[in-house]
Amino acid sequence: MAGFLLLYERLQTHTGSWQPMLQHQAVVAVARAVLTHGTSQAPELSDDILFAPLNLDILPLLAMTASDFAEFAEPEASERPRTPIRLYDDGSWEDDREGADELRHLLHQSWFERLNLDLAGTIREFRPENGVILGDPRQIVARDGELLSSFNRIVYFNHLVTELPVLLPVEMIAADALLERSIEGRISEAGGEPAARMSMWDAMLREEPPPDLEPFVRSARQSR
Amino acid sequence: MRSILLQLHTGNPVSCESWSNAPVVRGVQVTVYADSPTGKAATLAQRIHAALEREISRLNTIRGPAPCFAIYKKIFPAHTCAGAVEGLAGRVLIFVADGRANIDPTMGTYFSAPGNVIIPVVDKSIASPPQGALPAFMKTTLAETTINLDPGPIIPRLVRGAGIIGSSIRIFISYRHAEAATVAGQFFHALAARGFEPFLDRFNSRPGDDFVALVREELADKALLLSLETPGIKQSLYCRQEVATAVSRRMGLIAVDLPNSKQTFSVIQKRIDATGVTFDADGRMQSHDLTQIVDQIEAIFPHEVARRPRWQDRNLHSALVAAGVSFTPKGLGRYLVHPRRSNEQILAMTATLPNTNLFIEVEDRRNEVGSGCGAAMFGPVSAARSSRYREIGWLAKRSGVEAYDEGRLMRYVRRIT
Repeated sequence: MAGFLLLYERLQTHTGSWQPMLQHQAVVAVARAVLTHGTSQAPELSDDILFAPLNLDILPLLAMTASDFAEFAEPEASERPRTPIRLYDDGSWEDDREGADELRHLLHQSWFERLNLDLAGTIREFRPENGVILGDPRQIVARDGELLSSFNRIVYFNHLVTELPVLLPVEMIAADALLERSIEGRISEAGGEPAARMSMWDAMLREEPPPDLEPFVRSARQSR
Repeated sequence: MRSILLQLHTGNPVSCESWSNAPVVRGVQVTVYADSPTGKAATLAQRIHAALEREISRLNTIRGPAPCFAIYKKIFPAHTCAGAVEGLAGRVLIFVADGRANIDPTMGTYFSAPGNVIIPVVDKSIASPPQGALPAFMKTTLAETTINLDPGPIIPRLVRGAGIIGSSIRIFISYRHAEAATVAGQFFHALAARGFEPFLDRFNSRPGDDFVALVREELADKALLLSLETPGIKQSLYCRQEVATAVSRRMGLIAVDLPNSKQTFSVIQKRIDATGVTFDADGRMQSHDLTQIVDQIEAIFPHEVARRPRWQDRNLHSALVAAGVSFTPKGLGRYLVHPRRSNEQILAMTATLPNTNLFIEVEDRRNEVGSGCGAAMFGPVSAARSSRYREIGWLAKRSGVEAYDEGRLMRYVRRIT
């Protein structure tokens, strides 16, 4: 059983940037990866603990993910499994009072357990081993500073880094590089890149002028 | 057969090519016709044909030679295709008028049969009003009008009119009732008039219900979410959940920034600036403003709805490569997998809830490979509730094609390899 704590800060980007969308997609991907039991055949809640900030930007994404892991207990289960996600306060909820009554429905108790602790309190109380930066590491370091040193490792996403990643005194892992490395390893084992190893989408792009792609997709294509 | 025969006829048959794995429910023949090989109509026909090629290639298809060219090394007139080309069920004629109201009588008879689609196109320099430039049997068919022989603005309508991307024209309109109910209704009608299938939410704030599941199911068969951003949209539980669901599913996303919009959903990249529009006393937008915004939506639409199928294709491809299993690409989001220790498998992705046509297509692909081949499809299956879920289960059982939620893709690939 391991603890994963999500560190989120809205990216400061210009209007029309792809990065906010990629950031939100990363939130869903990370939450699902942490909550899914790694070896079971059917979707099943893992033993790992996920801590997330109580932030309206990402709460609907987390609610959707958490509901996948909570609904099998309803409507007539004899016992409720543990709440998938624990929320710590990052201050943004209190700053954002408009529509608070309606938005409180997002805090359904089968999805979230509200800890009523801030980031420092959560780290002190639960000692999560892994910090997951869902944003620009520079922004997070500037905000949380020394608190990050308490993690054994920090996971971040290369495609959300707006400047060179800062060096922290903990193990740093670029999550989006893992699958790419695995794919490159398999291609090397197979002895290169035969035509059949190209996806249909990439094959189509060879014939026609490429449409406007998301940078994440474009960079993956160019890395081949 | 999910394929398109795309033909250009300017006086004579000029080109014919097939596009397989197309998002059409049946084999369809699309013929762009001008009666003469030269002149304005021929030029416009060539431009329409080239634009259709570009649109079809970007959607979901693999290009190949026409069946007759593969066999006879030549192409034949469009009116000979029925019967000669296996699986061809639909016929679409895009008739480009040259002002003489003529059409080859054989072609006219072939395409005027009941059930076929005829889309007349008339440039303003040739005839205005357009109906006078059409052959007698088309006089009651509404014509598309171009200006300066530029087909660009009408291409999306031609694509949809021809039944191509028929399953990808569903637009979900997300808006805050208290601020944009009237405008949302205007968008609904304007989009429907352009051949889209728009949807307004069926639920109006039902906090006692499971809104997460409701929104998830509501969006499961839509291609794009259109967010009408008003100053108070951030207070809407439903709007937030709708955008979050669309983002997580990589659906197409377009935001219209209405007056005083705070761009609450910065996660939406494609934005249309409507902050300067004005409303009448009933809260209605001026019709020319509405037309301009819908023009922009129409232009962005094809690229936005392509995001999800291409993401699914990459997802499946990456899963197979990472698992180290051998495979053969068969189409966008369609792969024949050759596991070392078990039988071959057709794996398919579906952007929306799987329907009967998809089960038929995957079953056909599996049967082409031969006995012993398995098949599975992945899509937003977990979003289906009650009757839809039972329907999918029934189809899976009858066809032998397994249907899983796309979240189980990696797990499934690991299991079969």
